[in-house]
Amino acid sequence: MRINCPFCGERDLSEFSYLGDADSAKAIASAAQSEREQIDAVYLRANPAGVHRELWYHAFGCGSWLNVTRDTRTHEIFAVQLSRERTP
Amino acid sequence: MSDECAARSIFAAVPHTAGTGRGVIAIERDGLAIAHLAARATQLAQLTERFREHFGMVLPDGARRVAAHGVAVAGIAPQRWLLIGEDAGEEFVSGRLALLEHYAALVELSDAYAVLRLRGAQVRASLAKLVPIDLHDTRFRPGDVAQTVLEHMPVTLWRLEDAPTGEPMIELAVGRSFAVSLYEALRESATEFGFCFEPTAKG
Repeated sequence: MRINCPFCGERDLSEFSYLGDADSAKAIASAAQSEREQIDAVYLRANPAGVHRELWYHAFGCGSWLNVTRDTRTHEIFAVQLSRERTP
Repeated sequence: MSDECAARSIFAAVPHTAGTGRGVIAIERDGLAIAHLAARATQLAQLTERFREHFGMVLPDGARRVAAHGVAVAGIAPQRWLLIGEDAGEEFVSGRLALLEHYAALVELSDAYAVLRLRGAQVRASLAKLVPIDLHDTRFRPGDVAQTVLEHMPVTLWRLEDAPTGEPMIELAVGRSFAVSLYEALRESATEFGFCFEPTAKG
């Protein structure tokens, strides 16, 4: 699998490390929610067979966090965006 | 002062040739002043303007390297650059670069890096065995910069203008504690083409 880093260009998977679901990270950062919703956001993870928005870290490249939209069945990547430029 | 305290090359104690021929020539770039520059979040425009005024160059907006008047600047991440002064002396960072500090975080790294210049007809063939990036003539062009991994070591490399002989020239910067491991990996990779090391190069 290759990820097209917006800064570095297309790079091998071995340069990246995986964090997980990008949308639950957004939910954790949101203050306006109940304790129950926070617990769900922190501990409950969807594990979809299909399109997934996830966070990757370009550890051996430019050190950017990336938001990657990927199909978990085929590893096809639909979009890559710098997390710092992510629209909420 | 005893000899133990004298400055010496980090590559002084390693074998300086391998194989036969000169397919890859490695040259130590000693005495460079190196600093890391990271724009403050809201100051990118001011930093770019100030940098242009004082160094006569535009900060690259991507993984590219530009150089003028003995100073080179390489884009290594969004809004981050590696600055390299040739023969710049110790006052390069504390003096010439200090005026950028209002707009950027500046870290002096001259002793943190070892830099090797590679030239020769087989530079690409040797590096292709070591790094997971495309080094083809049309994909890694003069002025291009890449940060990647070489045998688990993080490296920054950039391609210079070709030598007058037409041979490609690539420089690699690596954390100084990795320098000998990097050198041994290069030497082994280049053995089939003939490898030799030259202590220092200016300019």
